[in-house]
Amino acid sequence: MAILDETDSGLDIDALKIVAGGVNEFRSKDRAIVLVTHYQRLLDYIVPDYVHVLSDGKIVKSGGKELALELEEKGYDWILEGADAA
Amino acid sequence: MLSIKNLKASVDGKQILKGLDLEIKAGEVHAIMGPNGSGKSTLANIIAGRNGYTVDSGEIIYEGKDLTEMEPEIRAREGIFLAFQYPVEIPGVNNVYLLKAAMNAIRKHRGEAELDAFEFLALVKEKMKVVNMKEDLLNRAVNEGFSGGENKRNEIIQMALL
Repeated sequence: MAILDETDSGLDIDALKIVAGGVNEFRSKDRAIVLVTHYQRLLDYIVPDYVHVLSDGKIVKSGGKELALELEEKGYDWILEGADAA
Repeated sequence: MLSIKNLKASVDGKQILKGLDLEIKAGEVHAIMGPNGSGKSTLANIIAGRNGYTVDSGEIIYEGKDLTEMEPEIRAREGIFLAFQYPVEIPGVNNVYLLKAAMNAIRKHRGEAELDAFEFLALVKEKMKVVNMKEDLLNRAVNEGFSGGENKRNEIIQMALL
C-alpha cells in the first residue's frame, strides 16, 4: 500500500502529469493507494474511488470522486458547518 | 487491506487525530482532503510509523497485523510505503544503492530471492522511463540537488519498486 503525502506540492503541470502517470501505472487490484492532497487538481489525473474530508482529526464526509469537484467549487465551509451542526 | 478504528494520535503532546475511522480494500484509491491543520499529514505519517507521532488509542490493522507497535522499517517490509511531502536529501548515499538495498530487504522479508545488480538495474530503468526521469539521477546522492519535480519522480520510482 502506498501513501502519497501531498506529492503534488511543488510540481508544475507537466511534472504533475508525469508523476500522476507513474501513480496510475502502479494501480492494480493487489495494491491500495492513499492520496493526501490539498487540491482537486491532482485528482483530475489520478481519479480516486473514494474521497474523504478530514476536519479537526476526524473524517467528516466521505463520497466518490464527485465530492472532490464539489469541494473545489464550494470550499470546505459547507461541510464543516454541517459537521458542527451534527 | 487497511482498517483504522477510532484512532486518536498526537504530535508533540497535542492530539491531532481525534477518533478517525477508515477502511481501505486492495485495489482502491482513496483521496484524503481537508483544510490546513485538519490532520492529513499526521494520518499519513502515523500509518508509516514516523518518529514523533504517537498513537494514543484505537487500532491500525494492515493485512491482519497490528501496525501500532511495529517499527517503521518493519512496516515498510510489510508493504507500507510513504512518499514524503518534502523528500529529504541524503548526501553521500548513492540513489541506486539505496533503492537496491531497500528493495532487497523487502524481498528477503517476503522470502523472495534478492536481485543481482543486472536484474535490478533493468527493473529500475524500466520504472524511470515511466516517469521520464534522467538516468544520471541514479548515480547521484539521494535527492541531493534534485529539482522539486525530480525528487517527486524519485519518490514515485521508490513507490514502484518497494
